[in-house]
Formats: sequence, C-alpha cells, structure tokens
Amino acid sequence: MQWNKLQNIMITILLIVNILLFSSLAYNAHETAVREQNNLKNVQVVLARYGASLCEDFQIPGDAMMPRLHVERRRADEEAVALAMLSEAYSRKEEDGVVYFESEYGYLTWSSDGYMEAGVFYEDSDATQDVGKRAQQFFQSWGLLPDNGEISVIENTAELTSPVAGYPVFNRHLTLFFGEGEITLNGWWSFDMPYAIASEPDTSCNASDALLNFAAKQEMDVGKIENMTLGYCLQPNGGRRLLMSPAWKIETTQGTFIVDETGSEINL
Amino acid sequence: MRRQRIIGLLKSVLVLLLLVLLLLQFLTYWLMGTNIATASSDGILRTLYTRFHRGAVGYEIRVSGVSAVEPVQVALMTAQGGNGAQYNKAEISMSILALQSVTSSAFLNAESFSSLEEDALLEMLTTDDSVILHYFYAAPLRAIASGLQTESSSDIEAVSVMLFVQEQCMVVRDREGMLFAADTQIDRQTFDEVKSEFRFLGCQIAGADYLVTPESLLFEEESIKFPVIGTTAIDPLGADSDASLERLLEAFSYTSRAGLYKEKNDSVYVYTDQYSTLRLTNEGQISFRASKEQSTIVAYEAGKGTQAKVLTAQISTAYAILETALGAIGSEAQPVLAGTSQEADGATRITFRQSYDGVPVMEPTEFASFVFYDDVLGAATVNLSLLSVREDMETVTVFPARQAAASASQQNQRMVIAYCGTQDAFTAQRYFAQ
Repeated sequence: MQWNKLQNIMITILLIVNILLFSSLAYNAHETAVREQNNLKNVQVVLARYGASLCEDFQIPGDAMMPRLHVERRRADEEAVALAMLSEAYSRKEEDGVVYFESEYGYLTWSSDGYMEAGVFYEDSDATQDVGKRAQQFFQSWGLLPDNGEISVIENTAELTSPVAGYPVFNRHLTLFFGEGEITLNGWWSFDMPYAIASEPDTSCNASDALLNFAAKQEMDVGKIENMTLGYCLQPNGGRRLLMSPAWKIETTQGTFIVDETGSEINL
Repeated sequence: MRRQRIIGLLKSVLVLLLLVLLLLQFLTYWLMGTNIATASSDGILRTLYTRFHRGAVGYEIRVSGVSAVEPVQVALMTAQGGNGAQYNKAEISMSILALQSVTSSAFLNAESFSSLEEDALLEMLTTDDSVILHYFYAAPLRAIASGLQTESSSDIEAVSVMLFVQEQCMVVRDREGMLFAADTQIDRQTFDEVKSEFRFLGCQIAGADYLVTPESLLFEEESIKFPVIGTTAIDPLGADSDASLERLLEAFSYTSRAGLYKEKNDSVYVYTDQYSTLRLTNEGQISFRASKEQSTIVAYEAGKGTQAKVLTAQISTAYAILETALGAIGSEAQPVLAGTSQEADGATRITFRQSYDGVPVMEPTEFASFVFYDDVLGAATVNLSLLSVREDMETVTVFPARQAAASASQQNQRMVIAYCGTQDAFTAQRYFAQ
C-alpha cells in the first residue's frame, strides 16, 4: 500500500516537472520561430534598399559553425588515374606544378589548384545505354568515383559531385561529355581525406549577415533571391595544399553566386 | 489482487518512462544553452558533436596544422600573478588558441620597431598586464606570427615576444639579447575576457631578483617530468620495413613510377624526373636536388605571392614535406623551425630540428635543411630518425626553474629545456641557452 502511494506521488511530481519543462521548451521553440520570422522580415526590408528581394517560399538557413578543411594534393592518385585512362605507355612532363600525361589513347593534365582536364578516344560500342550508367562505369574504372559520389545527367553530359561532411563542395565537380569518338572530362577534384585542425577555430556562418553583405556589395541588380545553401568552396592554399573554406551558394533570378561567410563573392 | 499487481506494474513503467522523458528534456535544455564553438577541442562534447553532427564524417581532425614555429612557454601576466603553459604540445596549442584574439591585433598593428632599454622592460613587466611568449629557437617575427594564425611585417629574429596592455606596446628580444619595441593595439576588454577564461599553471616573472632575463617565467610548484627518448634505426628501402616508401616519395611529389636506379648494392635508391633527383639511403637519409628555375615542388604561385608571405610559404611547404616524411616512418615527433638565412646567391636556407611532445631534441646531426630559390625548392636534405619513448627507463624530473634561475652566473641568461644526450638516450635537461 505504501509503495502504491509512493508511486502516485512520484508520477504526479514527474508529470508536473515534465509538463513544466516541455512548456518551457515549446515556448523557446515558439520564440525562435517568431524571431526567425522577424529576422526574415528585417532582411526583406534591408534587401529592398539594395534592390533585391526574396522569393515567397525562401527560408533563411540556420547558423552553423563550420571547420575549414585542408586537403593534400595526391600525385600518386593523379598518376593512377592517368594509368587507368591512358594505359601503361604514357609520357609525362611537368611545368609550374602542372603535370601533363599523354598517350595514343588521349591526354590528361592536373594543375596544382586541383583543376584537371582530359580527352580520351573511345569506341561507342553501346550508345543506347543510359548516359548516367556509362559515365558511372568510366568514373569507376578511372578511380574517380568515391563511395558518396553523385552523378547527374543533362543530355550527353554527366557531372560527378561528392559532398564532404554532409555539405556540398560547390566547385568540386567533374564534367564528362560524350562526344563523337571522344570523351572529354574537366573540373576541380581532390583525392585525399580532408582534415580539420583542432587548434583552428571554426568559422561562424550566419546566413542573414552573408546575404545582406552580399546584396550591399553587388553593383549589379541581383534580382530575386531564390535559394541559399551552405557548403564548401575548394581553393588553392599555397604549395601542395588545397583548402575547403565554408561558403554560401546564393541562387537568384540573375544567376548563381558563391560567397564566403562574410558575403564577399568568391571568383571561381 | 491480480488487477492491483497489473496496475502497480503499469505505474512502475510510467515512472520509468517519465524519468527517461525528464532526462531527455534536461539534455535538450543543456544542449540548447551550450555554445559548441567554445567547447574544448578534445572534450567529449566536441568529439561527439563532430562525430554525429550532420554526419560529420568524411574528414579527420588533426592536432596540428602548419605551425612550424610554436612557443615553448606561454603566459598571461596580471597584477594578481601569472598563468601559463610550458613544454607540452597540447597545453601550448590550447593556450595559443585562447590568446588568439589578443595576439592577432597586437601582431597586425606592430609595425615600426625601435630599440628599448632593459630598465624600461623591467618597469613594464612589473607594472603592466602582459602576454609573454618564449621560443626555443630564434625565428623571424613574420614566421612567429604565422604560427599564431596572424601576420607581421617584421623580420626581427625573436626568442621572446611580450605584449603590454596598458602601454599598448609589443616588445621582442632577439637572438643577440637586444630589445626592440613597437606601438601596437591591444583591446583591454578583449584581454580581460581572455584572462577570465585562461586557466593553466600559476607562474611569475623572474624580474630583477635573478640574473636570468627579467621576462623568464618561473612556474609555481613546478615538478615537470619527461620520459627518456631514444632513436631507432629505420630502413625505408627494406622490404619488411614499417616505413612507407610510397609516402616518403609522395612527400617530395614523386611516385613509385618515377625513373629509378639503385646504387651500392641496393642500399641507395635514386629517383629521377624531368627536373629533379631524389636520393634515399637505407639509413634514412634523403637528398633532393632540382634546377633553380624548375622544380616539382613550388612554395607559392610565382607572381601572386606578396613578398611578405614568401618566407611563410617556404616554411609551410618545407614543414608539410617533413610532416609527410615523419608520418611515413610512423614517428610521433614534430618538425620545428630552427633557423632561416639568406645565401650568397639569394637563396633562402631553412633548417629544422625535431621536437618530442613540445620539447626540442638536440640531435647531434641537423634534422633537415631546405634551400629555396624564390618559389622553387632547389635542394633539401633530411636525416630521418625514429624518436620514441624508452619504456625501459624511468621518467626524469628537470631542475626546478627557481633553483636554476638562482644559479645563473651571467646577466640576462635565458633558461630553456631540451632533450640532450646521445642517440641511445636523450634526457630532458634545463640549461642556459647562449
């Protein structure tokens, strides 16, 4: 009987505390939603001064703390791609950090900033096959398809992208085009596992700040802002290192812009 | 009776559920009020966050980046006393990070240096709040700034850097013991904010009480112990070697497909490419040579690097090579900048030594040297050795700083700690640097 009473008391107390806590959390969530709505309105007002506006369904992305990621240039992987693409008998030369490979099957160049360009002769034995599947086979055989690689197709062109840490890397993609008896491939790519440095502070990415600074700095009319995505941008970092720095992709009716966390445009 | 038992059981389950719900709500509350950016980088919260937040896989976290120049002692001094870290890589990294907002503006705004008298420094040390950084090897101020994630336009080769808040002044002591000062900007509010969060070991300055330099740091209740370390021979060319030949080649931008010929009964491998030659011996000696005009290794894009950033780009490139090479042999040592000099033909020579967990190792032979012709790496020599803790030997306690300072025989001597000895056993010792 005693235990029964104790249970009733415990249930009552726990229920009260849970309800109080839940109410408080719900109130906080409501406050956040209201704040976000007000923030959106304020951003719209300021943007209007710069001649820009937001699409009706536009939502300001949440703030994020992003680490800067470093990547090493991997010559061995570059050479492995050349071997797979051009076969054993290729010639190799290097100038100012740019490596040129050439054989009777085609050519391939790798630059120190991660940019690659290739042209490979091939016989189109199965032109009826889906472009995406053929592209996947080629990327795989050349050692360019990572586990999380994503291939998108537009007509005869396939684009390979691969997110890092769950975020897209806006300028890290390879474009493969099926031409008449030749495949061309170009774009920025990196192989090695990116790394963050524990002692480096994360970059604070605030969407409202970046958006307003971007609009203020633009000399041309940016039109209507349709979407804003957080991700990374691959950039040379001196010597043999590449840097993936946090960036926003802002899609407007006038075009797509990549800006850094402060809203300054990154020229790719 | 049975009905009552079922009701009792249901109530117990309900109590448990309510408890779990309560815990979850508390956890949510706690996480909502936590700023992850300020969490300790090696703390459990930060580790969990990086592991699970947005599936943050696909990258790894490294302890250090390109910080070839790191202080061996860091302290924040106020009228109430000092607080600092010394000869420990993790603590030094954390203290540098904590001081970043103060050091950044101080280095950026210190432009024109003029000489300073010892008395003036002593007065500032005793009356003003300050940040003190001591380096084992003298390094150009712009390289020191780079290690602190900031910039400087000065080439003074400093062993100590002091930032004074009240005086708004940066003072450096160069390798000859001369003092230089420059006006700078240090925000008092930022300093006070950093001070409230800065929690390391208590310390004091030597001041005028001892013959050592007045800015020497004397840590309270000091009893620092270091393991004895030794070197193990490595054979990167051996078939059963633990060293990765491929990664060693990668360090110098070579691949195993490069032209190879072997010398001296296969004890020396010589790799060649269009512009350079790489020699590796079975004793871990690496020698790289390239033409002055063209090389497979460039420190920066010619024409794009401003003169101010040339040296830091060269140091960073050399450091990255050494980091890869040490990783290839599985070493836990870190390369540390030991000196830079200009050669008669205009080339820049950069030398490195090794340090083990933040303590420099005085090996009998130079660890590595690099010669750059502007953006191009023309030559490099590396003597690889695998430093590791001698588990068969007991840790050594170094001579306490106060007693050491009291035993100084000359004015303005500088106290340091380093691993000294022979290849078999290096023991940590405190001594007076020249």
